[in-house]
Amino acid sequence: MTDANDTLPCPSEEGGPLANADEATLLADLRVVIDRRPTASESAAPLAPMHEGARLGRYAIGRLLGEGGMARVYRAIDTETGQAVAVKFLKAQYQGDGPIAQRFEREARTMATIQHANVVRILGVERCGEAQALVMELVPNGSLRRRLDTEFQSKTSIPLGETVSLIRQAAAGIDAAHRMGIIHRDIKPSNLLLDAQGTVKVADFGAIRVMEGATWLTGMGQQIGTPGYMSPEQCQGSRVTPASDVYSLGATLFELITGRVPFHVEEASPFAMMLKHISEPAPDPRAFRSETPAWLAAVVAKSLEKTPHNRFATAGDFATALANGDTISEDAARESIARLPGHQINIHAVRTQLQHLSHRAITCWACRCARRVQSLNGDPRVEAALAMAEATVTEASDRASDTSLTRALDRIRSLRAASLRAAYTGEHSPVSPAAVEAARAAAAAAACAAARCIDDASADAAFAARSAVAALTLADQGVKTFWKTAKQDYQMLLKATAGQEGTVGRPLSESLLKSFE
Amino acid sequence: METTQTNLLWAVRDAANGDAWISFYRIYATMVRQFVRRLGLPDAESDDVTQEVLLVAHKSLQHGTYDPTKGRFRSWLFGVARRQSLAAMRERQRRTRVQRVTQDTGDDLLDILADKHAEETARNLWEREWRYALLEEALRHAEAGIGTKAMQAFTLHAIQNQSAECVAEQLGITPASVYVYKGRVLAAIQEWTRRFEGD
Repeated sequence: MTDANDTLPCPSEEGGPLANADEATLLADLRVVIDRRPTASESAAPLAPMHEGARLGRYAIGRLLGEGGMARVYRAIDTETGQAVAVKFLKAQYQGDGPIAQRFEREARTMATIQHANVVRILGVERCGEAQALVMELVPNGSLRRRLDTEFQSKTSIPLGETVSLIRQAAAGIDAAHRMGIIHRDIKPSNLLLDAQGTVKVADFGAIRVMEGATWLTGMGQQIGTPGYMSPEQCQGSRVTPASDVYSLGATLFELITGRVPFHVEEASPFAMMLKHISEPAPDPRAFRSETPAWLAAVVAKSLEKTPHNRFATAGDFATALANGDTISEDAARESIARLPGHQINIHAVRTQLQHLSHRAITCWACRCARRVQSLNGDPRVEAALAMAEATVTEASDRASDTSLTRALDRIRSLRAASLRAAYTGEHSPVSPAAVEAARAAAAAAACAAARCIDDASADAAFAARSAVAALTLADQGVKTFWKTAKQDYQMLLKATAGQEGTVGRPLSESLLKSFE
Repeated sequence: METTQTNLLWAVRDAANGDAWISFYRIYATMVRQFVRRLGLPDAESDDVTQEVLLVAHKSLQHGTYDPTKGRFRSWLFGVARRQSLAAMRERQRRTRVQRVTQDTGDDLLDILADKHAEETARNLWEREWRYALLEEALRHAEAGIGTKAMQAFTLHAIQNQSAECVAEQLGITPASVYVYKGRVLAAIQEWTRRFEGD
């Protein structure tokens, strides 16, 4: 610890009138204040050397149009032709000859070869010293995100016919890119732009491609967004294929129809969203917009299939399905909807992803879920799930020393007491929202335990991950199956770690095992 | 005389006055966080304690628990911060089952907070952090209200101790202007901090 008394200049007269402090003391204090400010590398990244009024080759740079994680986009004028264009610069920290800059340029050049009415045209790549810039067609009418926001504010929806047309155009553009071997990886409303005629233009290919390696998980320290459009395989860190773009476009279609993304998490939590994309069936859009035709609901369901090969084979097929939509028979539509995605899950993938989640983030989410449970009516399954949560957290916390973990445990304990009281005073429906929420709390707690365990006991992690999944399916399977699964898992765990030292996979106490019965 | 700061504290009582809360938060969060960190709590726990202290402060202002006639706000807040820090440290010790955290000097942190005699040390630390937080906010206001060149001249000359001639040459102004700019920035900072002295 720093001893402020020794290392810092003494401030002026304590509590006295600052205005009378002598100048030397005031300046000395100001030096301390300035010295404490974050350095350039700690604070926001420095601006790229581009600014309004600058010149880049034949382009005169105008106002800033937008800014993403890695790049800024300016409006610019081509001084030779008078044409307005958009110029995208990698931010200063990504410029130079690093791998990101190299990929940026390579992808830009590949993108320039795509000539399609539904893809933003790349006009060239410019260099200005270290700075690299992508010159693109200017698409003036904003994005589908803006359109959705406008509709939301006016409490209206985009007409279904128009929705189908917009997504069909986007699918055609994405298909053109796929044919060139390029996967977008980040299809979402804000990357689908509208030109003056209302034509959809898919944007932001190159920049996203260069983001390989910086997944939303590794980036979560900076920003916990709502990765509402990511495919299950992306969530699991598996190989991304054109089918991933189909899924993301399906999620976008869902939002255009219903005004909301397929999966909703109360708190912006990548972990919660990850589990939902991986394991929760996509809802039927008709539940949110009843006039949605069955064929369109079927197209949505097919595009949001958990397994890539169950989705449309190509984005082109997606476009065709939308174009021929109303010719799909009702029976075929029903069949497609009936084949809802199941709860299959790749435990290994979940475990891998858990390793990237910070303990703190998971625990915070557990607490938030737990708070949610608190506001719901009692249900025996609430109690059951919370008991499970407590068991997993208790086990994990034996070797942990983290305030938030302790708090999570305290909170779960108090919820357990509250839910017990509630359970004895009310009627319960067979499957209540409370049970689902409780299951998620248990899932989060289990995941928390997993994160704790991961250092030296992969079997523990597998158990916790499995428990998380089991908890998530609690509402569907009923509590008995849930306990059975958890118990089996735990017994497997005990066998797996027997005799090993330095793990937390120690035998569970008799009393806790009995509580499983 | 009722100072601007007192007005700010009263404004914070008004739940609808979000701006007042933001100003309040910026000044006091900086102060409390630095205070707690210097007591030796890790960053994550410092943030928790800071949040707790500010929540207590906010609620107290809204519900009238703090009475301005009975003393300075920051003296009252010191008591809150001291109690919260003490609780966090005790919890940490209990949880981690480690030996008491000591300073480089060998003094025990908990003693500093718990011991009546050591309270004075903590109070001095608190007053110091109060002044730094105020100056940080004053600087921020000066930077927003005074031209870039004036701030550059001030920083190079008054903070980095470069000669007026050298600074004048770098910025393309006269040495006399450097002195004028320095005086202007200092006056702005002093004027801003004066408004808070009663707090």
